[in-house]
Amino acid sequence: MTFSTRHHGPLARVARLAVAASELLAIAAVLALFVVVAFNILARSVFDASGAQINLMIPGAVELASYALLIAVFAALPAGLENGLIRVDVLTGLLPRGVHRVLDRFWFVILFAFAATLAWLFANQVLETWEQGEVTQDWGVPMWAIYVVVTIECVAFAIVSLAEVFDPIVKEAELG
Amino acid sequence: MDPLSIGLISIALLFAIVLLGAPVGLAMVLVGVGGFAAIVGIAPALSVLQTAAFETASNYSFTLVPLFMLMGNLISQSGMAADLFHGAEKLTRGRPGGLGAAGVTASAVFSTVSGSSLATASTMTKVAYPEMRKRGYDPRLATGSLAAGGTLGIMIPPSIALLLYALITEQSVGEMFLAGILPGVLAYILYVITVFIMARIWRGETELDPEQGPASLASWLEAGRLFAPAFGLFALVMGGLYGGFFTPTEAGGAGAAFALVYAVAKGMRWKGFVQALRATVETTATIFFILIGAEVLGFLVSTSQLSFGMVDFMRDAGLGPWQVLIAIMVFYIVLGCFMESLAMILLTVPIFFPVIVDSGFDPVWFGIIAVVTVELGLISPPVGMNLFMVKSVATELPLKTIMAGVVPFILSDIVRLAILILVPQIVLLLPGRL
Repeated sequence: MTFSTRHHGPLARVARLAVAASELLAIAAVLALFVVVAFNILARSVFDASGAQINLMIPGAVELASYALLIAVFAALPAGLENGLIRVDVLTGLLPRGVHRVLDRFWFVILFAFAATLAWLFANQVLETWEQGEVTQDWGVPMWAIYVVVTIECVAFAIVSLAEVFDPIVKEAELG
Repeated sequence: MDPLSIGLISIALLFAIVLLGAPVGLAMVLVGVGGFAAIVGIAPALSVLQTAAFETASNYSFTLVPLFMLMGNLISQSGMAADLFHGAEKLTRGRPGGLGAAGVTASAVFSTVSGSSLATASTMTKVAYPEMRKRGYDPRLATGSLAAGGTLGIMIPPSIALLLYALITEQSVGEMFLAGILPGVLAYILYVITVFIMARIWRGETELDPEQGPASLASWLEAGRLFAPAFGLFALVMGGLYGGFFTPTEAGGAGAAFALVYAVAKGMRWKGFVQALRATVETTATIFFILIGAEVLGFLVSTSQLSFGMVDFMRDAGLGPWQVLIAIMVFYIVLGCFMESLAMILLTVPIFFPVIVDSGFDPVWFGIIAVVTVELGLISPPVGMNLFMVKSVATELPLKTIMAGVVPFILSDIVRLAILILVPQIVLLLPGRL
């Protein structure tokens, strides 16, 4: 899907901003994941070649990679809407354009509900892990901070989904 | 209502919702959470949703998915496709259908390292189609061979489809990759034979270019030079994985690093790098949304004991293991005409896998059979995605010409499927030596 050039309301403008910010975050997280994994391969080669004398390996690389993936995945979701999630349109393609459009918006309502529910569930986790003082195993990062990031990403996903219901920021032609 | 009935109704609903145009991942989440809630209550279902989403997205085993995606997207930006085609063309010149065989060869290698059937079909058509038409190739042969050639990478490692199958069924990624090599080579050989046969049946407007003689030693050397980066990448990833140097995630990281260095050396600009990253992010969203859905659906399948119910049903109906397998394959072929291949694997494998294992089939072998069958969907009319990729480049041709062109290759795939079913050792030989 690509963005249309017609005038949009405030919700669509916020949605565009959410997509742009999420995409940047997702790209940064994918790059971080790549750098951590690739650097550790090199560092391990140096470690082995030096007879365990030179250790440049990033400690807790598995943990870093895992949380980079987590951030990348949830940040990618709003950006993923721009390119369209996988759908089967063999039946809906036969429907009249108006019905197709209504159905399409209905699924965006459900998508909004899904994203909002996830945001609510993760927000609860923010409070729970804050109270328990939970931290990650290797780096000792507070878990609530990670849940905050994921919650915000889910809110962004919910906003983009909602914008598609009331003020679509994708070309109508792309939908059917 | 008993859990099994809820499970069965949920699966029926799942396919209905998918057909009504819901995003596949959303449909799986909806049905998974809804069905689970109907069995054990809303609070546990929401807890499952939160756990599945968080655990799937932060699972270290899954970090290799975006890394292999990045590798493929960087390779797509590098211009490797043209080198591969020109290299292959030097080897196959001098015989009818040689250029078509070059297209299939280059597609096989490019799709292997790019990991994307669609990108391969589109890129190779841009590179090879104009040359084929210039030499008077029948448009059916030109487009059919390029659409089909794009599917070869789904089997030859590192393959995203095999990777996802391994992850969701908890098979060894290394074993799955090894299992795909011989069936992938078999597919390539059968496609080349198909090209040579069809070149005699669908004779083009002109004969061979008289200046093109058989391949000389110099041609072989030049082709080797042009193929070297792709084989180097393959050797790095697979050699590193099986030589014990890399974990699967590290193999993805090393492959992406190699691809980055190669693409930069070939002149990739900042814009191309950003495009590769954006494409990686978009595909990551698409795949992980479905992976999260598959995880949630998995809870429903196990809680409702759906797999046991299906096994009991098949026993009661007197269906033997082979009848079960054939029923699943027919279902895949039909579904493959309408559904994207990776989504199909992620949607159906959690449901069918326990039944297949219970029927006594080897899970690695079934993975290959499932992927081969799903692969058929990429070139099956009416909605085989590779057909549209080729059409987007060969704009002057009607879609029905491209559809006619892939028919011989679909028959070739069916022959391959039959061979793999009759001779499972082709799949299991290499993993058995791991």
